[in-house]
Amino acid sequence: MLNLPILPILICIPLIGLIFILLSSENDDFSIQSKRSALWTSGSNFLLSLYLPYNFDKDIPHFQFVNSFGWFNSDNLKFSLGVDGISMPFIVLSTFLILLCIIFIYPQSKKNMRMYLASFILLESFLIGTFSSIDLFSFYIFFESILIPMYLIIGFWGGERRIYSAYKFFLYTLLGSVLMLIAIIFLYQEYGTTSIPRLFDFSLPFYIQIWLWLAFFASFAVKIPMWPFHTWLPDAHVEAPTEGSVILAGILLKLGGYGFIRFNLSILPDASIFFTPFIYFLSVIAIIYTSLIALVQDDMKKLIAYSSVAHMGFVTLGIFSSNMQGLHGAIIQMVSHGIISGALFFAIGSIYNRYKTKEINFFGGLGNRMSRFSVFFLIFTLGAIGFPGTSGFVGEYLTLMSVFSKSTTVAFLSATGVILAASYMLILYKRVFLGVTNPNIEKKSEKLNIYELVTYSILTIVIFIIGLKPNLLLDYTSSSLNRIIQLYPISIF
Amino acid sequence: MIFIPEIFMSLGFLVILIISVFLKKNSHIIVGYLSLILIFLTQFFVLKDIFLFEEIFNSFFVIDSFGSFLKSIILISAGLVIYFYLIVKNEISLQRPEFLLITLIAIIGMMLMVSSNDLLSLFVSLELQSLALYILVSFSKDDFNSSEAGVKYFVIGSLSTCIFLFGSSLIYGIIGSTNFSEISQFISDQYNLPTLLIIGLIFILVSLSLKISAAPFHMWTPDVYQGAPSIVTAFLSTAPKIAVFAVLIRLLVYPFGEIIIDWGKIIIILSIASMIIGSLGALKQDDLKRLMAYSTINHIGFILMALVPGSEDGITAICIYLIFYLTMNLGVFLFILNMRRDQINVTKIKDLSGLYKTEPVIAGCLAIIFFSMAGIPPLAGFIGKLLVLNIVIDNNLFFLAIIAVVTSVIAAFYYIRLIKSMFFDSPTDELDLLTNPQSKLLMTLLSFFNLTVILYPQFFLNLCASITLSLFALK
Repeated sequence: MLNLPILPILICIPLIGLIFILLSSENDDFSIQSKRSALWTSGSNFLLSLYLPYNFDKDIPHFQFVNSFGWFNSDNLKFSLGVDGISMPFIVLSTFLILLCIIFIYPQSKKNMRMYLASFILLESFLIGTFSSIDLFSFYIFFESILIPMYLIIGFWGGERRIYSAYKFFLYTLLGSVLMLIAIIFLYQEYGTTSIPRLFDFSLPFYIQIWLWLAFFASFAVKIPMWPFHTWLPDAHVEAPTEGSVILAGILLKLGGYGFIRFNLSILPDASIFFTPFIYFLSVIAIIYTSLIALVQDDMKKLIAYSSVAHMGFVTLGIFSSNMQGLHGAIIQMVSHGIISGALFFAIGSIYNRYKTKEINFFGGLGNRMSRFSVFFLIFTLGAIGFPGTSGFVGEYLTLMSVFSKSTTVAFLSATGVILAASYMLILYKRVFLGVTNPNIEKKSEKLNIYELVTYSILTIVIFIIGLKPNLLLDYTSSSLNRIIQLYPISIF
Repeated sequence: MIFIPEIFMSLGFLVILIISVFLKKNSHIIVGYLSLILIFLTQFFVLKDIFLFEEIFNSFFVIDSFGSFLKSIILISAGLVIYFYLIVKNEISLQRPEFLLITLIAIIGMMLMVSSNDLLSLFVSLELQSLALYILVSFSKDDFNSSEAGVKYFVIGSLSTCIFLFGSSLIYGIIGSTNFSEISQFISDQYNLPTLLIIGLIFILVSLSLKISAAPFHMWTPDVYQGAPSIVTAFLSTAPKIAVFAVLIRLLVYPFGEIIIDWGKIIIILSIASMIIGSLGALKQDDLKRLMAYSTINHIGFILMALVPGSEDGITAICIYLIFYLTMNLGVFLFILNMRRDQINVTKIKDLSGLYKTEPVIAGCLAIIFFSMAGIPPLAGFIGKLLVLNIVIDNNLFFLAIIAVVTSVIAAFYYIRLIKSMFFDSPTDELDLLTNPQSKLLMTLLSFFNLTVILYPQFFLNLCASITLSLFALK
């Protein structure tokens, strides 16, 4: 087996590609040269990231592919990279979705295309860095750096209220994460290390855990987002350009869930048990309340944005059930939501590119005009509902099962979210694709271009693969999750 | 021959003064380059003796590596400002050799300040730099704002001087000496310190806070920053701040190091007030120079936090933060100096709008610097903030840390507002294109520095840690 320093390579390739993109000669709205560089960069990075699952040893719960570099003048503060079963799926998901974004952008023209692509490629590097950091400081640095390209993507290429949304996105997430910074520095001062594998070995006193838990919670609850902290998300989603929404829903939200598993659950088990009812409370509210809000939205993107909050409610439920089914459910739900919501945002982007609106009332009977597209959209809709056979089903099923073993009431209440999801998604589908053809869409009826077709086909295949054979993914995560679950007693309530 | 840098600088100043009398055409350009050479040579003398330690002139001054290091930073920033003066187009009233000569006097004053080891020498050198700065602020004498700023600065500065003198007289009255080592001796010998001594120290602290514009003594800063010619503001916001910080550190850590309990709280109050006022005050500003004044206040508050424990690590963090602050501030002011429309200098924030369209490289560099000021990783400003927060949390000052991060989020708002107007707004009236390549190159270098510091933070940590050791050698 080749012993590649794969993680530094994955982080550096986008940075090298970035130079090529920035040096590409044309900077017009349709700059083919920079698109080619971006496609090569993200494509090769995706293929290289497949090296991880291929060479991953499923039985080792610890971090693999570890690379450490000296950094600040302290032995305990290193720049360390590594993956375990929890972070590996997300790295592949990031490279996968970024590649699809670049494919989707390929036929389009946008103002300042070169910078747009550069932002995405930079984002890719930061995302891989965040998921593969096994040192708190390097994690924080990557985690925060994401704000810069994302702020530019929303603010520069967004819709009408883009500036307000970009501010809101930036300041909300910054406020959440600076509290985490204090917690990280505190951990460093108290225990002399910020290395995540070494922090697993400490058992912190309960009263310290409580404060640290809240500080980490502040950061990840904003990011994932949980119910009272979710208000930045609909704004950011609605105003962000299509690809920006895909990355936002597909990967950035997962940073929150990933952070919950990696830090709150693994390092602070006592506090996690203490706060579980609190999390259940917020999650149930998120599921029911945001689903109800999603029912009355007029804007397609906003509807999907609210549904994301509801879906993330299932993720937090699963994570803090802290048993194997729950965590498996949460990870599958995160990956599948990344793919399905990404697919839905791509689809809405396709509609928007043709008709320049996302108003649901504008449409009706689109299925008569774009029959192939309507099939794809139906598959994505069913995935979002959690239809058996799609990846959405596995996540919700496992999560609900684990919650049921803890509390019947919570399981009952959150299961209503599944019904609500079915209603808002199917109503959306009915109003846009079925019924009498709306006179607004009589004229234009462009067929799907080859790039869109490729994007949707790949996404559909992945949705079914995960839905029908979730073990492909779960096998990787089991041993790492086992280590976390050992920290928890069998029953919480 | 130990006091070489200052003596060389003074002699060089006199030589340049004489030369300038005989110059007819373009005298300010020639004097500018001569001053740059002088600063460069002085820098060489400073660095040559950087590891020397000696008290000279009857312990009136002290030469140590802490002082020498900060002197070299002051010289670098002053040299950069003079270089800015040479490469950008200045107003007619500034195109005189006197401008540079007075700047040189201010630099000499700062260098003396940094090595003062006696309240008397400190006072004299403080006045030397202040008087030079008063003149510089009001230099463009046809400009009403500049004169107004000069008067304001002079009045507040004189007040600060009076307060300083009063404080030192109280300390002299009790201890019978103004020398730092004797003050230190007195304090460590005594169990019950007279209250008057603390009051004297408070007076001196107030006076120095006025100089570094720490809230609640910041009132003059926005007006003076806005009114003064931009090149003077660039100078004002860098070199004197570093010099006064050096004085503050030396004074608090060395002679008054034993009574940290008394002055620690004062510094905490100053830093909280500065961070809050610096972040909230800037929200509604529409003038870039005024905004930079509040930004300075905010940064000063952040730096002051690291002084609270009075420890070696804290001083190291301050030195590093000051270096990063210097690069960020000089980058912004280099841009402000180049901001002109139809050959007239403009400084409003809305003049920035659409900069990305006309000057993509400069806008990118400026965005990096603003993100760095906001403390977003992986830029230099973040590392500075990280090191300071590390000190604060190490000393269990959690409330201070939380105030610091919350105010820095508020401050981030106005930095990203600037980035918004550069990138997202459509241009109303385009600025003149940046014509001189040196400005572009310097901006790129400064932002590149901010971008890449994350790769070698240990260099600055080791450097500054070895420098601060000398400060604690006396204890």
